[in-house]
Amino acid sequence: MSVANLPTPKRKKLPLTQGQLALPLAAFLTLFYVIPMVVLLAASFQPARGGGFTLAQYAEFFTDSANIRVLTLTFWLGLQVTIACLIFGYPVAYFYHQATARWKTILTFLILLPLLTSAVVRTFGWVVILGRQGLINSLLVGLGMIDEPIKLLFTHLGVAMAMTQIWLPLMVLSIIASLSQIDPRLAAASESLGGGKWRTFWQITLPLSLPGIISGCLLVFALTVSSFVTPSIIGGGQLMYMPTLIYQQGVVLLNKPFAAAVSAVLLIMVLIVVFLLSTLGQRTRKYVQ
Amino acid sequence: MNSVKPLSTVDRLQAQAADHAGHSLKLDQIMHRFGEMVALRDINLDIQPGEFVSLLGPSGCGKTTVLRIISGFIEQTAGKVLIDNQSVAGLTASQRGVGIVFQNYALFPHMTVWDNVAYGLRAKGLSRGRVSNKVGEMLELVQLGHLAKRYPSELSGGQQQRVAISRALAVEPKLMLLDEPFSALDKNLRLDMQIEIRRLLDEQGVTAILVTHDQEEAMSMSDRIALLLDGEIHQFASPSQVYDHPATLFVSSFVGTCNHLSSQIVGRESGAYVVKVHGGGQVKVAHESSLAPNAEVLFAIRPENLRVETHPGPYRIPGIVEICIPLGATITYEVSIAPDKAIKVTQQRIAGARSLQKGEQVYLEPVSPSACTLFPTSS
Repeated sequence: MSVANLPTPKRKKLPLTQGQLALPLAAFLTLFYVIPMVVLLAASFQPARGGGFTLAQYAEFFTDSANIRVLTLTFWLGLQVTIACLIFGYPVAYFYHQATARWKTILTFLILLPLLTSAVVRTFGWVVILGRQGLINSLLVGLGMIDEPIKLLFTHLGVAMAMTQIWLPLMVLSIIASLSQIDPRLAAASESLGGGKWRTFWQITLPLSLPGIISGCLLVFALTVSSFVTPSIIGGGQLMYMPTLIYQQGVVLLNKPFAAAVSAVLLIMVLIVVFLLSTLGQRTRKYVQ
Repeated sequence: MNSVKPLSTVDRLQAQAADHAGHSLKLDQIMHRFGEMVALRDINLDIQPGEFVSLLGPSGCGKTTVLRIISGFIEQTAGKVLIDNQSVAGLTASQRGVGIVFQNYALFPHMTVWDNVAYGLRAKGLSRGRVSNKVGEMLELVQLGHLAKRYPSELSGGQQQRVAISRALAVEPKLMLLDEPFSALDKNLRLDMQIEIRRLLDEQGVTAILVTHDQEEAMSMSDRIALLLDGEIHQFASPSQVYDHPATLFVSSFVGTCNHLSSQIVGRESGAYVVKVHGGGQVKVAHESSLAPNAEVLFAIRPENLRVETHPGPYRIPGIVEICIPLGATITYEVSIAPDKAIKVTQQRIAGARSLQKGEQVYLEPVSPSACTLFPTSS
């Protein structure tokens, strides 16, 4: 008797292939994301009035030093907030990672709590904190460290502080996810080889949490440079960032093609940063199975 | 003509090993509690310099806890760990001179093979040149010099294990702890690695402790085996001693295959006990400790320690062949001696010789009366 003669069991076929299963989402995204993006990009190549193809909007953006300042200020804000989130977020994530189960429950709640509140509410909270009679100024004056209240509201520093607090949870969560994937036996191995706490951290834990750091930085940077509510409320119209510029041009001044061009520039800036960080991330792929 | 032959790496390491001829380990009345649960009670082990000892037991018996106490990852509730007769309380694994090979090897995935092996040497603060020499030497020892620039994920399981062992050996530990290091390897490779690791450790003269639940592994690699069940050591002896003279019923049933027959002592004859097996027949068993006359016992006998006879005798157990399983070199029969009681019997298989048939009447006799054990049953 030969095994080859036996009928092979028929594998039950899914009615749809995996590609087909993704169709509804693909259709949705095409309709409400891809097409609007194409329309936006097309609009950026139009003159202010009438039809035709022109690079005038981009030329106008890059020749006006005020616009360049907005671009660099936005990039600077993104960089500052990302670095601040990393500096403040990593210790929290590390503490969470080392904590006992009970502490983890408490910490999870504390980390997620801000995310459950709307950004508008949190921004108004910061208006109260940063104001002339606000928490920070009252405290500093009360302690006698300054004589006059310092100006925090409507300043770049104020915006950066508020944004750091608002996006911090995303950085913390990304790093926690990455830390929890590290095999605890690696730290034990390092210790058994004579690696102290610091060596273990710098040589093992930190490099292996790099994927989480990178994704956290990507999220925070992209969300910061495209934030509208917080910069416009804390910045109070005196400080202009890319999203507020887009709003002013597109909604207030009704200069749609110029607003579209500014949007495209912002998009390209984000894409460049995403590309740079992903390239860095690629280097870590080698050892992540 | 007088030429000096350069020493090979292996020769040189052997000479080194002879210099520091291993280190002893003593566990003195170790007790450990996790909360209310007593994980280990009264663990005493005296391990000689250069000895290879296995901690064998089923999962949850506490063997990993013993390992973690030796390495200093957890502090025992009571008792002492002594290396070279010095208490190592409060010291870390590296201060104790304990090297560990982990179950999944725990290689640093973001470092090359070279950097993995160099890690401990750099942590010690060795100069660049000395690190480089030692790493080269270690990689040559495990024949991985050509893979120094690879990452662990680019290596096979056996290669990863060699990296793990050379990384642990590089810092010249006094003790080497091996935590189920072969469980991730497939069966053929496992035997090769067992031989290779045993050879490496012997060359280095390192005292080694292997934690395993695989009795074959423990039997083939160890000088002595400590059998652990429910946080207690049941026996600490050589593999053959453990196999031939199990100290407790657990050891007897855990190591190898063994028949356990409920029986009764019915007499003494020329230094041996006459044991009546419930279900039929009686046998003579040489047993060291004294047992009360008429005591109820469990008579333990290995399948290969039974001889099949075709004629009845005064000290034979009658039975009927039920199942016959040829296993290549040997053949195993299941012989029923009572309606609900069967004995396994293993015989050498001689090519061409007639094997017993199902339903055949046979009479079983112990080959060696001293390689049987009697366990008193408290009834």
